[in-house]
Amino acid sequence: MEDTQRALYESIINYSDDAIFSKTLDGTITSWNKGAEVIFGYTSDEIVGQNISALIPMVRINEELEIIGKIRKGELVRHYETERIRKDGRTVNISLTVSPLKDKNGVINGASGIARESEKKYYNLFHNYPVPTWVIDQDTFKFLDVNKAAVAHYGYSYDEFLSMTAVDIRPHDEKKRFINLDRSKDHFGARGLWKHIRKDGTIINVEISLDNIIFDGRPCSLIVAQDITEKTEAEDQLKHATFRLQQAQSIAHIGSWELNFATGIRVLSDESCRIYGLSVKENILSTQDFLSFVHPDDLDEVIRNIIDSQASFGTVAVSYRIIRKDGTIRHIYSQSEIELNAEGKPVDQYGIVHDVTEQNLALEQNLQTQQRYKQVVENILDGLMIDDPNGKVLFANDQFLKLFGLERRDLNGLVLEDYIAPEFRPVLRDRHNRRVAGEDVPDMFEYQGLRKDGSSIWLEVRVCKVFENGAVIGTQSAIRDITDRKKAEEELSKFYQLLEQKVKDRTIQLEALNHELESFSYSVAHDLRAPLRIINGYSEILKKDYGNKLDAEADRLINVIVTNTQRMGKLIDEILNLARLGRKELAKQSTDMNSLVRTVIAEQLAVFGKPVQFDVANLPGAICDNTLIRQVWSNLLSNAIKYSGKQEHQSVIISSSKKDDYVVYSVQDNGVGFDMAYSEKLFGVFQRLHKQSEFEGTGVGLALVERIVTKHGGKIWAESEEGKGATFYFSLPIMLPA
Amino acid sequence: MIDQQVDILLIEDNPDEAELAIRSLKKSNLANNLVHIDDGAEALDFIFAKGKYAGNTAQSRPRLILLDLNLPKIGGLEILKQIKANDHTRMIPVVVLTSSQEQRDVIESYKLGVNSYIVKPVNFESFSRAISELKMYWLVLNQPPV
Repeated sequence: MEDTQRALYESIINYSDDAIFSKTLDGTITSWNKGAEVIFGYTSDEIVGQNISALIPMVRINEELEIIGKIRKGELVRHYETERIRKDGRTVNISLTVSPLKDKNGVINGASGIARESEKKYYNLFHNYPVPTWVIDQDTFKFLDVNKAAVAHYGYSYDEFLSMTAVDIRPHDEKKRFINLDRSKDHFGARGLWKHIRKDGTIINVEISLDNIIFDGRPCSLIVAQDITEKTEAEDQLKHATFRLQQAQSIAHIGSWELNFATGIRVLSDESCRIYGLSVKENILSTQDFLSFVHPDDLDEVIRNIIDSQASFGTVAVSYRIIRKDGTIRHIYSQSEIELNAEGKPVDQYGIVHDVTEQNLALEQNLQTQQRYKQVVENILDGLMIDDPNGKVLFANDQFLKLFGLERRDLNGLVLEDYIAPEFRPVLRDRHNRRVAGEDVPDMFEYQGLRKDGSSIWLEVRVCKVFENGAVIGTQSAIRDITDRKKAEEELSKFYQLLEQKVKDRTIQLEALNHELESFSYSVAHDLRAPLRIINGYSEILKKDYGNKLDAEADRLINVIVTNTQRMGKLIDEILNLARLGRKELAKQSTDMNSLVRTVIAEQLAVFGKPVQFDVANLPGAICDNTLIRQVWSNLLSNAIKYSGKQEHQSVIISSSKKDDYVVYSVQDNGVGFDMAYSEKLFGVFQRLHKQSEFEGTGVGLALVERIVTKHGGKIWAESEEGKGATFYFSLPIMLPA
Repeated sequence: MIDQQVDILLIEDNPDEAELAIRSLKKSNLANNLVHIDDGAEALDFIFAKGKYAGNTAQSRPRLILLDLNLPKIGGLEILKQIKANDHTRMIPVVVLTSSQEQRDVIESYKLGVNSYIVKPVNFESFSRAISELKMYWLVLNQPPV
């Protein structure tokens, strides 16, 4: 019977779906049925003899100690919900019942365990459900079970939860509300929004879902607590973002709109309303309403855009003008996208509108400015040209084309060098290369250009570098037709050459004249004096050899002849002096005027042979040709002596003064003087103010003096009154010794 | 051909001038052997014993030459140059007697080695005195190399 019973039990054990196993008190596994093999993955051979701890997760080791403790005391552990680790590493949730095994003597020596993967799905669902979920006793509000999400989210451990009630997780002000809930009918009043407090003290907003269940045979509530704090915040943020969007729209003058194709209704954002000149409440427009704002000239464009946008399904843009109710015109840029439904049909159109009035006006102005520049470039008289580093012409204005007789189509690939006379090409090419290499090269150049028809023109070009991002990308030339100027210059040059030739010719003629004059002077000196001397000589011989045969009248006549030949001789000498002076170069040197004047006075007194009172002041020196200045003094002093010769007491005063940059010397006598009315004649050649019978003279002396002084850059003048003496002045420039 | 001692050779183309000069020279009785030649080329022939004077002896070389500058054919400066370039004639004193005061004539004459340069005064008395004095000086007072 015992064996039969045993076999039966063994059979039941072996074919049970439950895992049935036995172990010693120290945990060594002693038996292992088929069910255990399925649930834990180990075969009987593999696991028997091993310790049970191989199956227990580290966190549940204490659990096992508790269980063994109960077993030792002979207690039963029933439907203990726990988890174990399979051979393949996976966790398996089991419901465990453990009972003590006794030997024949009734001593507990091991334990048998029955493990069932019981309610596994629900357990998993509960514990792994991502939202905090728990079960509370409806009478005590005690937590009976809580899932992982609750532990994770609230910060209390599983055990802490189980020691608490649902009241404990509520902040003070909500505790009362929770306790006072009317639970007479059901417990659904606890549904809805609540505030919970987490272990760290933070308060969260939760939305409670609740159902009534029976747990462990007791009426309980299954609670799902959805934390909506972030959702609330997100809603707040959304509100905030919407506000900000509106602000941004307002600032950027960008509005948005939505168009529903089914209804044809267009909803405008606040800023869109402002752009269209509408109040915020007038934000709903029919297509008809919308089109009534569009500027008539742009209406076709806008309608075409609406049609296009519905056909293209892509992003479309359009620029148009609107006329607001108050008549102001605004420039609008609009861009929109189509939203399609699940069947791929367009449902909505979302778009933005941008008020670009100011930008457009600025752009227009810019265009006008550009237009103005363009006009300047085209109307300027210079040919303007931009070329690249290879000399290829990139741009040229009309004037440039005109200069070279080109058509605009000729510009394609044109290189300026082809239109430059060959002799100028090397220089221009060299400069161009150096300029685009960044060197500073003379920017002006004149060269001969070749027109398309082969004719040549003179051009003046001013070149500058064209930069882009700091690099030379070409050059810009302003080219001017200077053919006329060149012609004028050439003519002028010819004229100068002619003039120079004429001057040369004249100089040669003058030199010839000078030469003739010298020959003439020579002849005068030599050939005129000889006959004079002969007349004089023979008159003298006549007088001497035949003196006793001539009467007094004949003697007088001979004397007249002799006197006149002598006067003529003197005249010739003085004229020669005068002529010679013209040719003579001044030999200037520093001259001591005091000693010069002393010498001249001595000479004159010796010639004159009568006492004359000389008062001589201290005279400043001068830089002059002292041979010639000596002649000046001789003339002036001899004149002073001569013209004062009839005075009983002859007096000559010599002094000097400084006037500006000149020294003025003066010679004053107490002679007969002259009438100032004739003072102009004083210095003329052969001009005399006195009769020959009164005072001897040729009329050449003062003329010679005037020439000498003038040649020195000075002046000569005289002051006098008839009968009251005369004063002669001459000035010499004060010069530093060379 | 002249083989007697010539005191003065007067080279002057103007006969009237020459007469006045000769008259003045003859006032003093000293050294009265005077030869007058009125042509430059002939003067050179005389001095260098050429042409019609080929037979001139060394004795006929003048002790003093009075030379006018303005002469036909061969000018006075050319004659002076030849005299002073020749070893035999270089020692003969040559006095230029001329109407020209031109500096270039004076300078050129001195460069060629003239012994005196006299500008003839227009006044006959002065002229006459000057002639007498220069004759006295060169023929009597002056000691030429032997």
